[in-house]
Amino acid sequence: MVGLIDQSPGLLMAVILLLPWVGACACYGARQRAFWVALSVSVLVLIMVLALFSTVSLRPVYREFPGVLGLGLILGVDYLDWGLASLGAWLWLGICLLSPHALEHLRHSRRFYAALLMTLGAVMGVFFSGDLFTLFLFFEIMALSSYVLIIHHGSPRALAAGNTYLYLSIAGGLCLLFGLFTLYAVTGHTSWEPVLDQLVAQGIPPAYVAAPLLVGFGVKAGIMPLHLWMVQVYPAMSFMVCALSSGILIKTGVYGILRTTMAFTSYGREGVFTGWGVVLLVLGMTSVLVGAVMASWQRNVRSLLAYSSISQVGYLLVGLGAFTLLGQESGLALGASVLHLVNHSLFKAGLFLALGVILTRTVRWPKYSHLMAVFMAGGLAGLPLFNGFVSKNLLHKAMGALHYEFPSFWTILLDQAFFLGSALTIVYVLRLFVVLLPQRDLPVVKPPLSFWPAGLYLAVLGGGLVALGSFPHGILQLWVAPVVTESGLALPGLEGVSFYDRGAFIKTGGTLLLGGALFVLGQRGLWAKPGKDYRLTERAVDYSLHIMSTAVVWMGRILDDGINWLYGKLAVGLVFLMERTAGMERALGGGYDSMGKGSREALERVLGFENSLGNAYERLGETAREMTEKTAKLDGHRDKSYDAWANESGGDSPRTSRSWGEQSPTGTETKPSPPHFNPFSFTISVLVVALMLTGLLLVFLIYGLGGW
Amino acid sequence: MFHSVVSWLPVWITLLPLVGTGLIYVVEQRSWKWRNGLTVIVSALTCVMVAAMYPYIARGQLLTKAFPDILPPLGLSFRVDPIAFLMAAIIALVWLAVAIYSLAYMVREHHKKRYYPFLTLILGGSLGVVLAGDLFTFFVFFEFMSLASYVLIIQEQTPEAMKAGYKYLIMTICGSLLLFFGIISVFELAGTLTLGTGGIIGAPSNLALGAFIAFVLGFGIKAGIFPLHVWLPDAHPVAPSPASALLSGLLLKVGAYGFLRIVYNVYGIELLRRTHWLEPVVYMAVISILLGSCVAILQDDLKRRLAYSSVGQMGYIMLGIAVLSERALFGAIFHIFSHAFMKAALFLVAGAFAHKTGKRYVSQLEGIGMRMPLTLGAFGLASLSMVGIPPLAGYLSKWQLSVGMLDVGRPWLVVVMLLSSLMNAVYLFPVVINGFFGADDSYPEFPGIRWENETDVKMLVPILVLAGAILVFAIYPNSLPFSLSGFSARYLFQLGGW
Repeated sequence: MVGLIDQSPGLLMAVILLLPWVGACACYGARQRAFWVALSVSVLVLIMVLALFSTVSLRPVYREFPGVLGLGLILGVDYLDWGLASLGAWLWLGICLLSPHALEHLRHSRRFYAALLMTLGAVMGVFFSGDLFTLFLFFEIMALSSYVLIIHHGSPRALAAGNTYLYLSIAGGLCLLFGLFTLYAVTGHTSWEPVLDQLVAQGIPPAYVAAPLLVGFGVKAGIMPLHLWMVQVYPAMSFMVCALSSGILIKTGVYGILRTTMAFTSYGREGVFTGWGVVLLVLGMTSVLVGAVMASWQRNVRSLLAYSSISQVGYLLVGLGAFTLLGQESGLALGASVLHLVNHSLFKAGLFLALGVILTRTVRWPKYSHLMAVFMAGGLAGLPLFNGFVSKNLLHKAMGALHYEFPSFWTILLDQAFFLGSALTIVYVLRLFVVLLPQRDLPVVKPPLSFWPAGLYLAVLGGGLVALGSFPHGILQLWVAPVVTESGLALPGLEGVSFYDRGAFIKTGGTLLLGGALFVLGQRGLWAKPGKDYRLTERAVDYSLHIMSTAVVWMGRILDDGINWLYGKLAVGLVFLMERTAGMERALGGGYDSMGKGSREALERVLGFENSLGNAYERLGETAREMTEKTAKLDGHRDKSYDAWANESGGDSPRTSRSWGEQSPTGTETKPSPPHFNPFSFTISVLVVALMLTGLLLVFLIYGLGGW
Repeated sequence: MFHSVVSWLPVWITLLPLVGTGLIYVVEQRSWKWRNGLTVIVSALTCVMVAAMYPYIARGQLLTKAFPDILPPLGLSFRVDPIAFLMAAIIALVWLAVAIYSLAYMVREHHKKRYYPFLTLILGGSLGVVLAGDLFTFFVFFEFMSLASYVLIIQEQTPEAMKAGYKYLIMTICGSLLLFFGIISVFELAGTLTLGTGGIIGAPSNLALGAFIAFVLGFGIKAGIFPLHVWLPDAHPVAPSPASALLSGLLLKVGAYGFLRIVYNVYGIELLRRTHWLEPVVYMAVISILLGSCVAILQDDLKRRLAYSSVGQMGYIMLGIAVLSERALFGAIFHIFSHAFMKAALFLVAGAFAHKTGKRYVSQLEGIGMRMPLTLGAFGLASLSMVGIPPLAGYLSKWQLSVGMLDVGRPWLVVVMLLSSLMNAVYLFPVVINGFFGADDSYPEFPGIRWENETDVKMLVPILVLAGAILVFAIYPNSLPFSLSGFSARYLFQLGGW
């Protein structure tokens, strides 16, 4: 078996990814047995992930799938990936085991388990991704499949919250994509190797890549300005999905930020992208404090734990910020962050599971689950002997190192804020147990399936927290140290670090005292009477989003309708022009008409002139004849020949006058009429010809002006 | 000898549907069964013949055939290069799917005797456009295709269909006149109309600019780019759903294809880089992207929503063509493929809903996923692809487009595209969410696939094939459309020289 794994760890990875998806399809086929399918797949995945250790402990495993989706996918597992994947598989097992107890209703159970398995595959893909591109792929699939889990309740409130989650996730994914594009366009690859020097050498500000990645992962991680979905979604989900979300889903976002930080860290070199570390510190501390304060104000258990998760993710960011800024000691900060990530997943998911069992009242062992819930909360509060104590202590050591390296007012402030955050954690944990839990008084419901391994799981988880807290060096050497050394850092002083010394106890005592005092004060004054759930920025962000979307949508509408209106106006204008043209043309026709009339008149006048001319000729002829006759009378006594000539000329003259006389009546009878112009018979042809001529003229004009 | 036979393929591919039209017309007087069968057979045969060209294209050969004696002064000619082949393959495949879908969809519609011949006729026209070897042939088939699609738009003959059809007709004719002006100007300037070289216009001049503007407007009208898109949201929803799928999925792309030919084969990259004439087109495309996505959000009529979405998606394609970057062109060509399949699938699903339940408004579609899970599943897959969620085809085109934008140093265009992706999600996801998770109390538990509730198989299979192609061609390493798009982009760029 081991030999087979050693030979083909890539195959095993692919199986781990694909098996849940096959299982998801099987869930739909399995009718009522979807639960068992999901459970067995979870167990199998857990076993397979653990089996990978034999290979990963020797060397990181990489497997390429070239050409898939254009760029090709790379799967890779190193210590960090392996640890987180096993954490995920372990929590999945718990969620599957406890789901019959803590799901409010079993409607659409096949859909639930199918989506659960889809998400499992996607989360495994996120942790097994060998480059940013592969990570992005599985990240998107995870966002979509977890959406189905989030709205599983199906109430309008759940759907509304789910929409916030979905669209924020997609927006975050698009931000991520922008960073991915930029990284790829600049470097030509999307792998996780340190790219800072390459970017700086090419003169590209690293923030162009890093900032979109931070926003994209930050949405999923729920860091402070991007946490909007968490506080909306948590109260609307079942406790199981809350456990999933707090335990793993937001941790995938943190994992992304962690990988980004590793790729962009300058290890404390002066002036090289130190802004990244500062941004992480500021965002992280804001999340810690605001999240803790808001958690203390909540009335709803799930809202409280949502803000608590935001606050705890803040700690992780603070640790990563310190990791970026520290030079020598950065291994300590990295180790602290990674350890706190795992610890938070364990106790927060455990808390949700235990509370889910308590609050849905589906178990026969309420006392026992209360005890388990207290165990988990001990981890959350950072009590000694619990795992949260260890990792917070380490984080605090990293803060101290930061102050040692950059002694300034701000680092002192950071240290104090860290302290305050821990105290506020105590406040909300107390509030959860003292105020919120006893208020619940629901009837006990019989679970559809009472299942003893579920109780065992909680016991193992609770015991594990204490084991991790009491014997911290085990996990430090087994997992944290290899993770840190794998990224090329030394882990100075971790071997001999002592957690349970005087200083630590004094700090813890101070935190407890401050937290207790704040809690009592608050009980008296601030949140004595139960009021409405107080939400800080949600309203404002909601409204601004609403206004933005409305503005965008209306802008589009105005633009679109505007264009349509413009075309309409243009058409109306054209019709108007056509009417004018028709009118002009009618006028033109009239002109032709009158011109025709005019010409006819002229013709008539010419004929009249001709007539008068003819008359004149006639008269001339008559005058001539008369004159001849008179002359003949005058010269009557002339000889015969002279007479004959006189007769001949006299005969000639009437003949010509007769011909004139014949012609003139016919001329007046058949007057040559001008052609008849009907203005409507030649409209189109004239228009076309006129337009063509105009167009031609225009072309010539442009031609001439342009100097072709 | 064999090659000479093969070089006739583009001619046959164009002629077969045209001849088929006549046959269908004759046959349908006798028997509607034979008509239906013949329609599918003609589409399928066309598909097969297009596929038969593949070995030659894959070997890097070009298929050319010229007929200088038909329409004498210029003559017709055919020329198949990688991009022409890709377009022809997309058209033939989607057409076949739509033809099969039509058989079941059109059962309850009227004027079927007009529908099927014209369906086949337009197939021939659009294949002729993409296989044309010169601008004149291109223009002839383009006109043919544009005018014949009017008949599909007014198929229902309702008053609003007639109105939309009139709008389409007027704008198309305007576009054609502009194209004609552009083409004669190109002939005047270059003395030739052949496509396939990296620019036949040597130097910028005023006439060249005028012709370019005419081309932008003419093809812009066909492709539905911003100020010229007004016919599109009216015409696409009123047509029967299979016709809408063709209009939105394919015929818009033919406009974009024409523009691509003009940019890369007629004017050439060098000239356009020097003159910056493409800048206005970039802005037109940007406005189209934002506008189409914005307005789509407001539509309750599903088909109208999809039509506005097409305006936005055509903006992606035009943007990819206009920024003059090889990878962006790669993305644009691949987006022609992916959008053809996505949008055709979406329109066919919208038609399936209307056909089965009579519901065509988004607000009515609550809980439809319980009845028609496969149909809505295909819609969901296509929606995810439209948004650009990996591992789907839409993601690949967005990737190539965006990296191309960054190659030419324009990150803000990437921001525009990502913003539009978000808006795509906002207008497409509610359909899926309401359909699968919306309140429908008649089904407390998902009942499984029930064939009496599900779409007719003849309609379901084309939908599933189109939607499946989106997934398969994306995941399969270096799939055919992907590698062919890359090949085409490189081909077009090397013609122009760097």
